[in-house]
Amino acid sequence: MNAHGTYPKGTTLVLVGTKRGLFLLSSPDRKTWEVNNTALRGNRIFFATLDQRQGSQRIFAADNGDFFGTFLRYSDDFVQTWQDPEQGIQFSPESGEKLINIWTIEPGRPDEPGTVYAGIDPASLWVSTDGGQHWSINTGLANHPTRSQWNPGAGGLCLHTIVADPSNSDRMWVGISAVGCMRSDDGGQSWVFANKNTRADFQPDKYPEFGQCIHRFIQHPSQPDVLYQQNHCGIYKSLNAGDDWIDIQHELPSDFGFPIALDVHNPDTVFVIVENESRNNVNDQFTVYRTSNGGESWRSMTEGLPSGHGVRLGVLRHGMCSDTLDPCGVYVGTNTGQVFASRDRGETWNLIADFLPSVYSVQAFVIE
Amino acid sequence: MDGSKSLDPRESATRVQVHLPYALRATVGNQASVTSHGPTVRAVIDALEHEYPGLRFHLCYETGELRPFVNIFLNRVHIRYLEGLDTPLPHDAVLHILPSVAGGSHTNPIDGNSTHVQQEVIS
Repeated sequence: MNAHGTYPKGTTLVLVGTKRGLFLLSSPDRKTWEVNNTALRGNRIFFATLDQRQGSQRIFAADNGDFFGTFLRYSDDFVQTWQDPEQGIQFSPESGEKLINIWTIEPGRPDEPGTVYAGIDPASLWVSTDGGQHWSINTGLANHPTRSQWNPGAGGLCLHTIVADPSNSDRMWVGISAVGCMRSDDGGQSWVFANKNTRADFQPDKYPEFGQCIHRFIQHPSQPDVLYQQNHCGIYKSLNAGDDWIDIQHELPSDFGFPIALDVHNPDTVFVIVENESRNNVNDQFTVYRTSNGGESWRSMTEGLPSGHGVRLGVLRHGMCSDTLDPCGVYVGTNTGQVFASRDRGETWNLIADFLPSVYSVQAFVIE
Repeated sequence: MDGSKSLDPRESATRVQVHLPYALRATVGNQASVTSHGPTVRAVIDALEHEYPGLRFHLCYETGELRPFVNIFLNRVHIRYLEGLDTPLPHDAVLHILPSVAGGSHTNPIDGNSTHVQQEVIS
């Protein structure tokens, strides 16, 4: 960060949300990294993102305090200071609902610069149309006719993934654990389930209409009907906007994992991490898996990643991301406080931060 | 002069001293304690919210329920063992607001009930 409290254009910035605060990792070349603490220290930061639309450089953070409440914060000076919205995410007293945690915050489409979305527990989608100052609930989802039948996953009844289709302003998807993928084709007025052929091994009916424990999903940047999904029970790809899904686990050693990311310059290149039932690396080698053919086959990427009898690393659903550079950078934050980075599409890895609190999320950006 | 005087309505209400933990002091102008008024704990929280907008959400959920790791003591007694938020307050009461000491399972020596502990599972 320079004396003006900003980062030079081209800087790679990784926002790291942890069990105890938000950290900023920055690099001019993705070789040397600087680790900075922020004014958001001490609290549980599930997620943070940088909105760079229309010249903005606003960081939003999901600040889920241990004791005194859950707040969406924002900062215009790279979290040297932070502000609260004029009307934050809060249910009406009459609703009987209470905000538990904020799980994700996503800037809207490029052509809706004031729009920001947030997903929370209890599962609901919140929208701001003024850059995060005022928030309101999406009533189409909140009043879904099946709402009373939704059940939580281990982390709660959380809406953790939001994809607003940049090619279609009426279409968006959300992921809710343990409900599944839902899609709106009318600008959020109504929502349908999009879970066909994804398993729920923990249910009596293994292929229900809803009740799947979706962990994370992403959209192909140039084929908007193509989605990739990590699930409690498998890794999947959809070619038709979630109408149905294809199992692409193949030779991966586990069907369980949380994060998923892709290379925007080679979108058939997808990265996943899978885990054993203890939620650690499957064997003694911590591994990122990569497909370069849209899920036809997978390769283990291990060069620079730790191995040994004591290596037991876990990565949460927002704990892996990619940047937009070419070759693509990939970033992984672990529940033991390490951040690993690759600047060559996962071929080789370096430890760029250590001894952080347990990492909940990483999000990478190139300063414009 | 007729001997009467105009009273601030708050002067006739129960006066309460409220001590706040460090984490909440920024919401009340960086003060360690504030004076408020109200016949019950709930009324004091309402009065504090009026004076320091946003403070209530730090203490209570939208439903009005006290957050699980927020502890309020009236003159050294946890309001959990009184009447909760409806606990009546004597004049010149002293309220202490404290966060829980979380981090492990614990059986309360007073009532034998297990206290809340912080959940670590987020996935």
